Amino acid sequence: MLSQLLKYENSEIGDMMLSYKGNPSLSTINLIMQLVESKLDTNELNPRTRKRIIIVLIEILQNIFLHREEFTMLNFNSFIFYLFKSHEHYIIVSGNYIKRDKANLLMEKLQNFTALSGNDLKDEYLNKLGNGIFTPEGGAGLGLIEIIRKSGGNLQNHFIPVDDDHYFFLLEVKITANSNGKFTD
Amino acid sequence: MENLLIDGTVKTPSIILEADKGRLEFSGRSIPENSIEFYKPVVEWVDTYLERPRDRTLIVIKLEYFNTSSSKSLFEIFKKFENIFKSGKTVLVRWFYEQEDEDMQESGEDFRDILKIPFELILT
Repeated sequence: MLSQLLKYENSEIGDMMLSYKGNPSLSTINLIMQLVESKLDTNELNPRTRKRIIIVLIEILQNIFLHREEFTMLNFNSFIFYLFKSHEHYIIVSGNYIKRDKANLLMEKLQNFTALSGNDLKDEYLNKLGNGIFTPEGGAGLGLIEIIRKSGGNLQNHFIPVDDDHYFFLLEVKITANSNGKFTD
Repeated sequence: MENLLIDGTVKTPSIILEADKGRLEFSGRSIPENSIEFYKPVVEWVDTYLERPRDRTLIVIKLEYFNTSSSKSLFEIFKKFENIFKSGKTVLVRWFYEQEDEDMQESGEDFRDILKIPFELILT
């Protein structure tokens, strides 16, 4: 797992704008939102790009908060977050523990949703918006689709086995700077 | 019936629900962690309003951005107006978005595509 985190620690994917390691508490995610917004206000002139980053960020952080696991390992943090800026992209990286059964469901959803074209993904979103119900955690089941839609499908994910019951879920989402990031199917 | 006014915060929208005018307005940001809880008083107000609605109801949306759970709550609220529209009352949603704000335009189009009430997208 550490080797996969080193590229972030060493800023190999862009200039690091923000880094956080700790627990995904409500105050933490609120603070990250404020800090990212403040940094974008200073560094990103395009309001469309700013808004798109914020929309994706909110869904990532609130998903992690709603599905947070009370699980930590010695010498490791239960939640990591980075924001990078490369030449063409803003890159949001998050990492959190997830139980095996939830991880299997998430893997399946990610596989299914990322395989869809832009139009099919929109249909899936509308179907869930119109017919879906709130999850027991209070989510709408739309966050993951929204992240994929708004990033134009530009994301990578890794499920790193930690023990028999847990994975560490790493998500890297790229938002194209000064572009609408739409699918081009 | 009483009007309902909810002040906006950094994470929740300003909401003005005027029964006497048949006008509902939502503006600002809507990104609460628990949108069911936040929108509960709004849903209750709408349920009471729909018992004796005005002949014309206008719903004004001037949101900067919102999270997906708010989107689900807003959908549930809009959906409640379909029945009175079917029964002959006038219902209109005016969805405002700013120049080049494709995300808010796209969200408005999403709602318009699945709701059975008149829905206007207005570029400001």
